[in-house]
Amino acid sequence: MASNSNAKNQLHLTYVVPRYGQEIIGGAENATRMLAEAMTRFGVAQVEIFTTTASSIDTWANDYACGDEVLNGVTIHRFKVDSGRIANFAAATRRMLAAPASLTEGEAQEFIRLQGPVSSDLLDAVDACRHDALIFYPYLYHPITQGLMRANVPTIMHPAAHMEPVLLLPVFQSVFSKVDALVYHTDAERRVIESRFKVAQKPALTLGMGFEHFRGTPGDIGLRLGLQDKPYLLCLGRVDAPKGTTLLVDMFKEYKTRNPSALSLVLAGPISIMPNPAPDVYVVGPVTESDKADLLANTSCLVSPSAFESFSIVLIEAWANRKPVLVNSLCEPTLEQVQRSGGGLAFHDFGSFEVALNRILTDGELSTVMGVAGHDYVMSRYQWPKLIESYQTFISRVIERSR
Amino acid sequence: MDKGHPKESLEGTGKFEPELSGARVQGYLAEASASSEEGQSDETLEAIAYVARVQREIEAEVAALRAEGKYPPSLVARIKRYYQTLLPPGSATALRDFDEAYRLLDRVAYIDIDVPTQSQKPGVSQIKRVARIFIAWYLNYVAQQFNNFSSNLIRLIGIIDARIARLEAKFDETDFSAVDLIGVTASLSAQRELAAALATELADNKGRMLVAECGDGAILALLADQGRDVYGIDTRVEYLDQLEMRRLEVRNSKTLSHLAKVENSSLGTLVLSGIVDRASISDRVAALFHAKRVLYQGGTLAIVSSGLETFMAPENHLESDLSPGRPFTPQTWAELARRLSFSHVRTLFDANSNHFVVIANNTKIEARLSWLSESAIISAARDPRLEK
Repeated sequence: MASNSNAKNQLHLTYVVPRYGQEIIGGAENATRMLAEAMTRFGVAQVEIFTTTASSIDTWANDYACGDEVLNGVTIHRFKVDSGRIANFAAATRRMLAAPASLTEGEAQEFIRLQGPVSSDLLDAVDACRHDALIFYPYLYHPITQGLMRANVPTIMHPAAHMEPVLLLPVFQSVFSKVDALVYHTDAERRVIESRFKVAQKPALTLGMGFEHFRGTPGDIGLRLGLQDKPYLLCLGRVDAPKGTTLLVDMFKEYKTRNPSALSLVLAGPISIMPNPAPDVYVVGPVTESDKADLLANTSCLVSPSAFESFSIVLIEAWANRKPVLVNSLCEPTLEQVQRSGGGLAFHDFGSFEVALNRILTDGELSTVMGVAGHDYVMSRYQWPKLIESYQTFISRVIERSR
Repeated sequence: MDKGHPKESLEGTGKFEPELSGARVQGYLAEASASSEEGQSDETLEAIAYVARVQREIEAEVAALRAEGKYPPSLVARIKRYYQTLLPPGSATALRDFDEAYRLLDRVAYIDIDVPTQSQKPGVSQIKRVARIFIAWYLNYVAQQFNNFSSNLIRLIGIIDARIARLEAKFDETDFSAVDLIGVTASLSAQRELAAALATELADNKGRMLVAECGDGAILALLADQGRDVYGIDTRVEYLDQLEMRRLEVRNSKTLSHLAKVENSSLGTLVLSGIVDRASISDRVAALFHAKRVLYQGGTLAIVSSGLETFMAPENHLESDLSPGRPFTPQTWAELARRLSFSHVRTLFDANSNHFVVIANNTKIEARLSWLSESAIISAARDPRLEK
């Protein structure tokens, strides 16, 4: 088994990710850290991280110091950001994203550069890296698109992609053509990438993501918010209009008007775009792991309103707590997870949101069935030992193939 | 899990092991419907079915409430606007909105130069009217050009829509997915000598290799044992499970849909089997087009097939009756390959001449091709059916 590997058999892997750290909540970055730490914990790889000194995707400012540090057994090398995200990025690139496929490769490269972060030191480090493999995560940013082109060892990418306008930028075809192998979160993500870039012949693995049970003492955020013994919906992750949180708050407000009750909605995560204020809605910003555990343990249902996810760790966390979920059916990967697990329902407009929510809140048996089905699904698919074993086998095969 | 088919090996008996019998068909069909539920307990499957039923009930209830007018139009419009901002490009919902978008575009495509001149301020209305008269010559000229452009554009979109609708209708007629019988009468599972001969033929080939409908992995394992960079695809999960346990690289995928997602000139060898026996003629030709596209110059195509006698054998009656096509002869395959500018076409036969492999090298497409063209290959690669 993987954990029995000795140092001589260990892989030496380097992940390239735009930002990395315990404080960083982004889905892909968090997934990178969980995976890197699990690989180290199970003793199958010596893992290093090439990342920038940035912590915010809004600016990519140099928040961390340059240099090396070790976090949970993983060695992190931080490189200075030469240029971050331009101030008016969204406005400046709106026209570009209106017709992304029509841009030239040069214009698309410019989009990636304006989006940031650009770090020439990081790219030089990638160039010089002679470890067993370089693993890039996710597909979207400059260190990945440029780093992949400069890699001199086998390359693997976790695209963490979903169908979104930026995926149509012409710059990514050469990136996906160059990479040696791909690791996907879900089959839905795999279908999107293989159809878009015609890379079905490349070695690929649909891995998913493992999870950790929270082992500490749950926090008391429910008490602090005055939610004890009151039903509430929970939405975890970045609070941002493209993530569907503005839509969710608006629909929740309408739902409460039509269905008066004590129900509340809690949005927990970094705030990028604040939704319109509404009664019984708590936008609490980022929360600690213990407070998250408290919120998950006592929620009636976790809602994932985003249409743009390649995988949803928060669904896994909700199911680990035997909680039902409600997802936006526009998001194929989360819908696929729900349909395969039986752990929740989906909405596609206000009507289906309202009726599905009523069923979840009033039909205790249904909620229990969905919570248990989700829990079984997580236990059968997303346990770290099983995932790490197949991941290790896959990476070894890719490295062997490149020799 | 009981697959509903015999497992005993006929290896060494000299008999061809039938891979599709009546019982097997039932097993495969049941398996196909349960493929995404592999490894789940009965309780979990029941829960999934229950939740799916609830989801359908929700949809029905919403439809009833909508019909009763329970959702104010302003609410529906507001939520829809949010959704429009979240829609991934080309999503199904966006496609459903085509008619409405087309109608709206048609309505706003015409520029009216008859600018309103009303005003509440005294005298302004007259000034506006005079101004309108003075600039009418200019506005007329500009508006006419734009209106010409927009009316032609609307017409063009209408033509494209009609053409797509025709294609969709054609697709509905030719979708054989309901009777998608993966039979592989020509599998090399029992044709060890032929498989070995093929492996020898491919011994000097470079690059990545794909064995499409790899079955029990006879050829796949031979190539992997030679240290080749090879992977296989199939949809029969019982084979895939066995092959994965043998550490062979395999995917659960259909041949055409997989080939449609393979990069141009990215494979050194493509071994086609199964589909070449029982698919429709157009699908078989599509597979050849894809082979031409995905193989790099000098790459090798191997078509593993069988004679009509094998196809019509009693143990394969269901497949031969229900399959949209029947096997081509080696001569036909060889001719098709030559017409697609494959070169060095040769055929290997088994001892009884019931099974054969047509091997051909991929060479540059020649301009003199009479009935095939590069654009046809590209069209085949973009066939919307293959994206499903």
